[in-house]
Amino acid sequence: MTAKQEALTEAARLRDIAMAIIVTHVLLVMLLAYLLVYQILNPLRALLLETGRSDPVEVSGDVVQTLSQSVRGLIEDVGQTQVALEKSRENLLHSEKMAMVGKLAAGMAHSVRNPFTSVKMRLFSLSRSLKLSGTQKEDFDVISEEIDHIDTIVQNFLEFSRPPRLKMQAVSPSTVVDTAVKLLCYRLDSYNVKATIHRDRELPAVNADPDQFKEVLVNLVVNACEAMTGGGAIDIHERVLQTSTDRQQAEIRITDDGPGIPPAAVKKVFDPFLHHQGRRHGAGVEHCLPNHPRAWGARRSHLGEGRGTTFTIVLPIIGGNL
Amino acid sequence: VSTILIIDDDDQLRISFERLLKEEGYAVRTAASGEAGIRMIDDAIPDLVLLDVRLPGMSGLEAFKQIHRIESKLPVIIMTAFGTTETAIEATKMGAFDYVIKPFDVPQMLSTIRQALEAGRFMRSPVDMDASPDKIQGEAIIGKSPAMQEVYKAIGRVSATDATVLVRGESGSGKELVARALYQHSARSENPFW
Repeated sequence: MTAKQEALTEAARLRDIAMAIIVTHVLLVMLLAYLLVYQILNPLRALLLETGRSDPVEVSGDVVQTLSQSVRGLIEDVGQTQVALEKSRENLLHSEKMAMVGKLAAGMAHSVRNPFTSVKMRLFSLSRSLKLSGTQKEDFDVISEEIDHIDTIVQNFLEFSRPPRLKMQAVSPSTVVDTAVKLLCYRLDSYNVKATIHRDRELPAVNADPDQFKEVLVNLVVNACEAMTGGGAIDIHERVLQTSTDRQQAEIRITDDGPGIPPAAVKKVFDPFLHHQGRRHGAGVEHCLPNHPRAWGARRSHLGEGRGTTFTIVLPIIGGNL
Repeated sequence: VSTILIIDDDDQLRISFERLLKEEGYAVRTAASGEAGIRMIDDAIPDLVLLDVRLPGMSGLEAFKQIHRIESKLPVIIMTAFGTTETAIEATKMGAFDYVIKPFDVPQMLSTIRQALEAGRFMRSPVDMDASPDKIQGEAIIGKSPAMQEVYKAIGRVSATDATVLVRGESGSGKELVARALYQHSARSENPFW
């Protein structure tokens, strides 16, 4: 064999090897492409469709980019859900507390009302069998009246712990504010408090129970009056809120220029029957807000430190969440 | 003398109530539980039962059901110390005469008791129609005139039906007697009349 022949044979072998490698590579590339499309891209697209369920996504573009956007959206959603969950857990805890108060109230009503009944019957017998003078007659009347008074307190306590049946209807918060302020005009005078309504135009209708809503406003205003010894001013601001999620909400802010709520009591404002230095502070707040969450689309409170207290009520406007 | 049975687990309430009703001229018996009360009713049927909703052992509602089975025409006034009147309303639907919330207004309660006793008496005393004066026992609608004959016929016609009847007439003309006659001749005569 000559060296030339040897070289030719070697070249042919190399060519064969090269051909084999090329063919193998082509096959490998095809396999990889198949893997990419069917094992990665298609699942990615499916994932994308899953994650972007709320709004239709353009799948034809950069799949990975779109997917990462979707995932970011998902993470945000999870964050929001967590906040909502936390809130609902708080509500649940509160409901549990209320249920306990209800049980206590019912038990108390039963134990208190039986003795009341006996007392009333004995009084009736006594007043019938005795020849009473004018003042003695008055004594009897006062005792009877006061027993009825105590019973009313028991009844209120019972009702407080039992959420009322709500009569929901479309109503403008402005109408309710007007009714509440009108109702309170004499009381405001007696506390030497001036209430001012700040309103550009009537707020659009919200879904609420007008009576309960009025009760909330009355309680907030009366609480403010009681906190401002020697008089003061209450400002009621009304406006429409445009939230980031394109939701329209009606906001009513009630601000007083009283001493404010002591920091230690702030957390307890929504607890039932809060007394601060002998004065009811939170009872009225509690009386209608968290107790009847169904009446409220939302609630929020800004508690001023030092001077003044502001309570903010936020309710979703009907047809305003588009 | 009408006999009133008080079923309530509050001792002082029973004693006070008994004293009050005795002053009013009623005969009074008392029981501290539904079971004891039902035994007393089995013994001798009273004219009226005052029944508390919350009792130890058998509930007031269960006690009422049993009393109603023993004597459906025995008027029962349900008493409740709760603001919630669901049970009381339930009992009224099932045929209790009335329900009152403790602490009740005493004169009002006495008036309710009188009404219940009267309703019970009405159910038990039959109204005679077209009776001759010497045959009258208790109350009766009397008269043989053609107009009265029409009234008797109308009562006979309508009492067999389920129709709601409006009885009209001047004060003192005897609407109540007609109503009772209707009840006693109706298919519902075994059920309470109130």
